[in-house]
Amino acid sequence: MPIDSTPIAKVSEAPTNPGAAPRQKRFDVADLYRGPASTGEAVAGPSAIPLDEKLRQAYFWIVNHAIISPHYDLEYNTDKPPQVFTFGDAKAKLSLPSGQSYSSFVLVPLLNFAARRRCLLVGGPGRGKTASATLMGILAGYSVREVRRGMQHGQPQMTISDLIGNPLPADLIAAQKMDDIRIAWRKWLSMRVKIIDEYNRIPTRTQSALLTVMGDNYAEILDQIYECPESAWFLTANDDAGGGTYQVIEALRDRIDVVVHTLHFNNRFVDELLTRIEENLKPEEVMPPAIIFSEAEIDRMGDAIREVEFPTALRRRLEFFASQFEFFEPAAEQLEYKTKDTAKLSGIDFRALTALDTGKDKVKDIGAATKNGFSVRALMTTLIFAKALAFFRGYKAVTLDDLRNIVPFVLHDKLVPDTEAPFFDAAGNQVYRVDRVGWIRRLFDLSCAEFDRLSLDKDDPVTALEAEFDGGLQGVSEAEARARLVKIERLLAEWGKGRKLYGPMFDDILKLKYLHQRHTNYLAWLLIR
Amino acid sequence: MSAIFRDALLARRERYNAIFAEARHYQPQLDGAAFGLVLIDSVAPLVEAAVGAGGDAGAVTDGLYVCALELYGHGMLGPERNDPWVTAGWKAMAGLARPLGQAPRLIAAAVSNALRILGQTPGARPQAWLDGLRACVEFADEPDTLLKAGQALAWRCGLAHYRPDALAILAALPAPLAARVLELPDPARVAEALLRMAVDPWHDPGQPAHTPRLTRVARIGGFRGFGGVFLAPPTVTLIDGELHAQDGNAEGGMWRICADAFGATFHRSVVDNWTEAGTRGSPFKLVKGRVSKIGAGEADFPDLAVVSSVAATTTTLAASTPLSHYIWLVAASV
Repeated sequence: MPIDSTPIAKVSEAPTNPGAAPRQKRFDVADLYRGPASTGEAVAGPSAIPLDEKLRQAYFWIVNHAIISPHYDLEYNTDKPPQVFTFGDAKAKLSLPSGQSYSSFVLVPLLNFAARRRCLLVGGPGRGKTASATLMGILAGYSVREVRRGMQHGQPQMTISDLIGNPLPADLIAAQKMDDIRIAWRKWLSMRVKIIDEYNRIPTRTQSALLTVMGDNYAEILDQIYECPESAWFLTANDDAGGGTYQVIEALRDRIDVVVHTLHFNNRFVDELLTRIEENLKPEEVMPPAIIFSEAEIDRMGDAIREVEFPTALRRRLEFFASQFEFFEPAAEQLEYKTKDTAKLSGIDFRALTALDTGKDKVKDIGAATKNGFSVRALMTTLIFAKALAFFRGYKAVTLDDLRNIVPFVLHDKLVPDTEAPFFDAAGNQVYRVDRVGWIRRLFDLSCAEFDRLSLDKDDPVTALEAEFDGGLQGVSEAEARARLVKIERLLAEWGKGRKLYGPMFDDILKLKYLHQRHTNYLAWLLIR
Repeated sequence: MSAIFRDALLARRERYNAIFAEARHYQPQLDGAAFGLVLIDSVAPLVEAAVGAGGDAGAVTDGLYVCALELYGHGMLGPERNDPWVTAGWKAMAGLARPLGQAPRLIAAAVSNALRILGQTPGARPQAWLDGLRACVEFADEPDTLLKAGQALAWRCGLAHYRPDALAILAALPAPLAARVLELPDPARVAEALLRMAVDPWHDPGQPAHTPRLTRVARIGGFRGFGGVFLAPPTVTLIDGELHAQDGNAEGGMWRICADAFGATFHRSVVDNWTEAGTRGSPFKLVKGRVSKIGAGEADFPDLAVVSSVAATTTTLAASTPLSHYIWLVAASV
């Protein structure tokens, strides 16, 4: 049966996100014949539609036909506020978003597919983790059989050879030098979608080989190198909190860009399961050709995602948020070393050190709720996924909602909570010890509220000094350089009058020191020239 | 049910059952018995007609079955829920037997989609379109040519926003077919008619010619509660050379207006720089209900004695009044 003639093969009609449509549409008389009835010719030109539209069509096909995930946890609102309802004694909230909202369990892996990063799907057995990853492989143009064969299943006896390949036995005997040994590389290494099922059941030594492939995009056996194509990774784990057979090495965990939880199965949808059984329906086998991406399309999509603008005002909010977490006053004497990283490297009990950090409101200081700060990798991942989300929604620039929605999935395994911190004892915050996504989103909201309270959108002296410096030092007169130095010193002196030092100010002070050094060196060069 | 249709169904029975089962998985409300009626009432006569005109029974049945199932699933064809214009279209398509036999799914889907759009556009004339399309078969029995003529016909039947595309299509169609679309008795007049329509949106070549005079060519919009467009009396302006309307109620939004001798359509729009346009830069003037246009004289329009906004292109003056949900269009019709 040709699948493009059946209703299941029908993809959602464009525009799938009308809010993102151009303001002044050009009328096309060809629209007269477009509508609910398919002429059977629509699938002939799949690449004729924009890639973001195609990605949305893929999303809607997956949620409508493949994965039963009737959740809308990534909420967007238009200029109309959402309707909010509360239930039960604990006042559980439900909001009805006024804009098009999405299921994180489907959307985040799809963004990972588009941005070609590394996604971990976590959840109990039989929740659709592997099915979701399989669909991503099919989206990349592989057959169901190819995806299944290419999937690596973690198990305690998995060796490096099982994972990567093995030398040809004849060459091992006949070779005079290492270069003569040919390797039979495993086929999955050449795939553009790589799936590692139950990665926390892989033995530690094999995990290290996996780390090289994931992190550096090549495989190595007996001095032979296999360069892998750029690909999207999907790893699954039944229990990411140590329930696997082996502890996952930290470097491997750190390479994972986003973590997404399977959401529970809503039992009002058992009839869907029943029909699938009775009619032997396998959605992965009937994915419409119209939503399958060619290699060139995936490349172009990556370029398009990178081109999405990240507005300066939004970047400042992200900087402000990220700067909350690394600063740790008791860790060192010199300002530069007053970080959680210093404390961690010392090996001294974190609790003992936090007890020394007195005089601050540790409930309001969101930095006091974590044991670590942002890594550069975490920041870069946040930027690329925020762009991918904006691209998916058809926007040319990232919005605050995009950033707010994606941050919890990027930081899920990267921001380690200090669950004994006073923040988690505050009224209403106890639940965040368990709810990692909600906790990170709450931290982001609190950071934005503080950003607004300080009016940093309008009045940020460091931004003004940065702008001056970004104009370049070439041609700056001695008088101007001295004036700038005075401005920096005055600002530092003014801040020095305050009694408390928090994360954002820590980064600002070090930025001012950087600017001061650059101007001082320039001035010295100017005088001896 | 004819033997032709029954045999075609039986020949691919498993396929048709599987398609229906798959569709019912995603639309559990689909009822086999009701779809059976659709097959008997709507599909079978068309299969017979198309096969009679030379179509292949298997291919025609296949195309129409899938299309009918889609439409039934969308509530557009069926004994209980249906779109009356789509239902009428499936009866009328027997008159398109030859092109239907050549491209059954394409013709059936295109006609259904077009009728749905025409039926949902206020002021459009789906019956006239259907009649016109059947009449065009005499001059165009190739599916693609017939559908091109259908696009131009849709403009003539009220979809004013397709005007530029339709004029281009008409210029490319064989003259007898274009004449049929324009309802001109003489194909030799097509070229001249197209030239005049290109410069004057209010020219209808099917109407007898007379000297230019200012008239109210249309009254468009209306109260949304009565099937119109606006929640509150609107205002009009000109943006990038096109007429736009803004609802007096902020919830009502802004609209781009496309209007000509054959109809008027409204299209939601977003306008950041809404300013009063007036008649500056146009050949029109409106003073206390008296409209004048350079080269076309003047005329009194008592309804426009008090207006809330005015805007004009080179061919059309639009005016709104404080107490009406309608917009008046005045032009020098010929």
